[in-house]
Amino acid sequence: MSWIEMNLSEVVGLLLGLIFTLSIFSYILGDNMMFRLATHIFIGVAAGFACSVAWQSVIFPQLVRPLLIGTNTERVFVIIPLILSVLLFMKVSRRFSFLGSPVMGFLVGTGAAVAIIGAVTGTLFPQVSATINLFDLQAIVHREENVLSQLFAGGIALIGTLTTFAYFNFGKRTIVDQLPVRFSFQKLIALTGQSFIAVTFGVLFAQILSASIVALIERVNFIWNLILPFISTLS
Amino acid sequence: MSEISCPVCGIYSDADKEICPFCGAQLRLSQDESSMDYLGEEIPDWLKAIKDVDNPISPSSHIEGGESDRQMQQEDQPLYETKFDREDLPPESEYEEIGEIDGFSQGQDRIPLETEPNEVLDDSQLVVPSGVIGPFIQESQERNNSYNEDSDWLHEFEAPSDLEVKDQQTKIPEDSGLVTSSGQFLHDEEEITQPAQELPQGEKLEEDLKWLDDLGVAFAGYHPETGLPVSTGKNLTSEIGDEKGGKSLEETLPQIFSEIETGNEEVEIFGDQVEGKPRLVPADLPSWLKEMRPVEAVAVSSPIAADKELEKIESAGPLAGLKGILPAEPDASQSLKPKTYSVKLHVTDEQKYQSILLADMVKAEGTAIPIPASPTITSQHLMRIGIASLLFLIILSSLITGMPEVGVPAATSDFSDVFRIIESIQPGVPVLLAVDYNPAYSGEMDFPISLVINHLIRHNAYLTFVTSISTGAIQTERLLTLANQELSMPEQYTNLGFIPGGATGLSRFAQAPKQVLPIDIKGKPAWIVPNIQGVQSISDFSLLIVVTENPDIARSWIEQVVPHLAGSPIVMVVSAQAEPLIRPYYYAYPKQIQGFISGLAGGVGYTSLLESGSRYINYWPAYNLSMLFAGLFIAVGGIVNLALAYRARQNRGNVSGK
Repeated sequence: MSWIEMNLSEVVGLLLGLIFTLSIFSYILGDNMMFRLATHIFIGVAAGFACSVAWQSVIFPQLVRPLLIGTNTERVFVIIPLILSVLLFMKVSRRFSFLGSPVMGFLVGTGAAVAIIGAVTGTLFPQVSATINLFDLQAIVHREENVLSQLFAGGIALIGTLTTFAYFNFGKRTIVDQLPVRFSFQKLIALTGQSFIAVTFGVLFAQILSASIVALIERVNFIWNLILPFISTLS
Repeated sequence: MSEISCPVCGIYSDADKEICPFCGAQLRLSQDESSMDYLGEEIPDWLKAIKDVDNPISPSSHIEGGESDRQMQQEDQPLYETKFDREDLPPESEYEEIGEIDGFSQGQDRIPLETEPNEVLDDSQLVVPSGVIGPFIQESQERNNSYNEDSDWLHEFEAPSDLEVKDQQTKIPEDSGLVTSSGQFLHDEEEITQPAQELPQGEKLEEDLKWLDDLGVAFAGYHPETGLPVSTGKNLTSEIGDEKGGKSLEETLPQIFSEIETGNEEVEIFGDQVEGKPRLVPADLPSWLKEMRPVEAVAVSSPIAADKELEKIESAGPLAGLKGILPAEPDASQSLKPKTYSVKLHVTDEQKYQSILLADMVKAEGTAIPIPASPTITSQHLMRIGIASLLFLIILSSLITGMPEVGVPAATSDFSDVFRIIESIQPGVPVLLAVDYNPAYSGEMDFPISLVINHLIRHNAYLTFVTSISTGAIQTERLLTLANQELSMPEQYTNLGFIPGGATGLSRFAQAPKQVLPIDIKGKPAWIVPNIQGVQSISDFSLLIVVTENPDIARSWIEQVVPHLAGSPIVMVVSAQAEPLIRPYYYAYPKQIQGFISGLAGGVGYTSLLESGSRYINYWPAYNLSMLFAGLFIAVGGIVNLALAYRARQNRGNVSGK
């Protein structure tokens, strides 16, 4: 799509995108005003957009509209959320912030309970079961996979899991008049676990670098596509 | 006509009379006649010294009237207390018995020996009618004849005692050790009625010693030290004599006086230790009694201070002009200068060195170190600009030229399973897409998710979009705009918008999606569309696709929603940075997610499965080339760091070796 085919909003959007992209790239030269201006604008726009989304998607359709145009039943059901919302809003006042504490406690407690239950039933137990099932020969045969390779992979996973857990065991042997030291086998296990952790962090770093390189490629491609028509026109 | 009171009987007489007509005592004594002045120049120097020390108050100063007017004068602890302490004296009942025996009334004539230790027994309290002790005087006179013959000077010394015998009244001399050590209270000018020369010296001494025998008889039943009654029947005189090696007092006194005469001042006269013999130790007062008499301790310990205190004249207030006024405030409450303590610490050299180091550190913390002006261009700046420029050139050259030619990644099971699941979707079935990636990752996420959306549109799936982040709804609209550029099917979707509440909201949405999000992002009822009208829970969707770059959000979807899917498949389109944390859910057995597409590599692989082109394909060569150079930069940087560290270690080794 050429510049002539674009409408004004698209052109302005592209120019703003170019300016902000260059402003962020200017950090290569060091911290400067353009970089800080761009970051501040991004943060402000994100906050404003979050507020507008909260009003448009949550507060108005689920609280205000039932009170204004909803039925009596809907109004009754939104009274309690309304009261709790008002109490939670009291947190902005130092004098009446205690009124919002119960609501805040309810929110935090409910969120923690949901997160813990989800972590236990959705991650911990299934992952432990998956680690055990790596040595399920019938399952391996059922999946028509190579038994030895699957056992090897399962063994690596098991060793990595156990040694990583052992690495975080900081218990040491206490000797009189000497500093506490780990047992030799404990050191070996911890070193193995540390190696697995290092490999994991290395993989995470490589993946993050990969995502960043892709983002950079996309921005360079955007700039190139933006200035390419001008270059073509000049040429 | 003026009258004068008799110092002995207290009866007033005419002022022109010299002798009391009632008792015969001398009514007036000249000022120059002090207690011992009658001895004239014959008093030895040592005795004058004793007088000066022990009698700071003139005897005439405390004799102001008759017996009824005389007051007890408080002064230093009298020497008689060292001889007869309070416990040496008989109790009150004993005095009464003595008084009855002697035939005197208790209130007037008994010997008041039970006075306070620091009180001075004046002559009025010690006056005993001579008729009572007369026999004792005679007996004593007979027993001391031999002594009197040997000590002429002593006769003159003891002459005042003869005066006190006159007119049937006998004074207890202070040098007996019973009353006081000086003549301050006995040598009253009014007691001296006749000069010593008027009586024979032998009679004077005999009469003077009579009182000792009298007291010996009176206190014969008491132990001299403890004051407790004893059954031996010895009199006091004999017991005192026992203290001097078994000799009687009549035998001891001449010896003492002879020693005094020879100038042996170290001899303690009044029963103190003589040549290693035990002295007449004062009795130990009971503790409760000492507690009742705190003045005693003060008077004994600091007699001079006590005298000064007594001599102090009040200068202000209603008591102005009076002596010896007790202070209104105790001494303890007076402000004292606080004690000074030495602040010198005993520290070792190492501690001193460490303290100096600490002081220097603290001092250095408070000193502002000027920040050196950083140069405009440093090596770090150059390296950063160089690496960024190199990456820009590599990427741009690769985008322009499409070089190098890199083959698409081999189809792996992760995105192949996604492809297979979407291929199995029936036309018109609802598919739920959770667009939970931030706009910052759109460059990476737009490519794979656009491929998936195009794939779904091809299979006529009904797309329903939700998000758990605030920017997800508008991101969805942008994503559909990008997809619409390739496939114009804008009516085949519903954007439910934002699910508030995080993990709690996801859990609630999985159970009752209609109640959580009743309307779409445009404010219209969302669930009236026929494709999703029958949806009651999240399991009614044929497929759930989660698009996110955040592994925590992906985990929340897995933990909160997957248990409610009831067999419906869930696949993910994730960023490359989230892949390591999502992959275990896919490789679990049974699988917690049925497939995933990871970043650009997964998108390129999915493109190969779709057998369709994409404008994002040209990213692939640039991506591979830049990743190669990035790896090279990291490797070179690591090698350089190792070399620098090795050289630094070598330098430290050289320094330590020197």
